[in-house]
Amino acid sequence: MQRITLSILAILLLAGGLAWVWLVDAPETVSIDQARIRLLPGDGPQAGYFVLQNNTRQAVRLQSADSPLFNRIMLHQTRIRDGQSQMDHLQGVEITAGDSIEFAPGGMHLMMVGANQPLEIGDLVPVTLEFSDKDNQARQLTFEFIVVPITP
Amino acid sequence: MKNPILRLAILSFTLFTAACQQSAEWHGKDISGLMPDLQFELVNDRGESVNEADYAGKVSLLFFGFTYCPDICPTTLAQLAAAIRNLPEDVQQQVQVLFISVDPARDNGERLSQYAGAFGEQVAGLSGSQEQLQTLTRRYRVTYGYGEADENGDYNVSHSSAVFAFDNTGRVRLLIREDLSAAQIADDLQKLLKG
Ligand SMILES: [Cu+2]
Repeated sequence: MQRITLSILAILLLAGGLAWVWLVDAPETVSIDQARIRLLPGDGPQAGYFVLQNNTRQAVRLQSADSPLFNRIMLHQTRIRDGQSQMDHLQGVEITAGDSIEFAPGGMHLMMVGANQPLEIGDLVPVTLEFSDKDNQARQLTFEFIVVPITP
Repeated sequence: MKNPILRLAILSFTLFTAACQQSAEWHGKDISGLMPDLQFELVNDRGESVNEADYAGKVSLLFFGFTYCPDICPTTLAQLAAAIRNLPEDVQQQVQVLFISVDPARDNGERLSQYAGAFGEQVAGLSGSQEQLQTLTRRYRVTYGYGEADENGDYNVSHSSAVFAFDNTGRVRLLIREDLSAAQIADDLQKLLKG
């Protein structure tokens, strides 16, 4: 009997703990992982990559990106058709509720043009991503992108 | 993977298993005899005219791109550079990457040398006149083209995504797709170096 009580107590404690973790660790927002800029020498464009996780209960749309350290940032996608490679502009990228998208080499990337100061490996570059939800409510979130070397 | 020892262990294991698979199969596509031998007239990053004779005696990897390409071109070049670093040190010098910019209007010698240099000394940045580039791309049945300039004067360049591999006598051997891993490319390079 005592054992059952203990078990129930344990389960309650565990459930409570989980609920607490869930409440604290899962804010209703969009989170970023592996945010990085792969450094190329010179003043040409740089590419930014990341994984974006939509923790909200509705679809959000990544609309644009901006950084005080670059003239402008475009959402790009590399496409290879019949052995021919080119970059296309993306008007926006939708992330359904609970889902994630990845900007990765050879696919979607932030095309970051016109750095207004030289970048170095290890620098943290603030990048503001603008999202809209289904009600067309705009929301901006600023993340830090770390500058990483081009060769692994 | 931040742990260098773990990385080294995995690399050694990859090389070990690659060495054990002594099959005649290539990871790239065998195009021996399907394309002409290596031949070109181009300009190097010091503005000097160069041709295939200047790079003779090495296994050559020919790749078309442009330096205002921050995504796929550096990804492919980094992959080739990593494959070369996977080779035993004494043979690394016997491989040459020829990065050919098809965007000579923007890619001057300084840009080419900076960009190619970021991937190691085995990568040479070359370009040329439109006529020279047309001759070379037609020779290997690839194309390139320019998109419309935007309000900032920036334009996009489309180019072949494949890498052509030639043996050290200049004969065409392999088409290396962009989705091969560095270990697979290294494996093919090893076999090419053996003749
Ligand atoms: Cu791009």
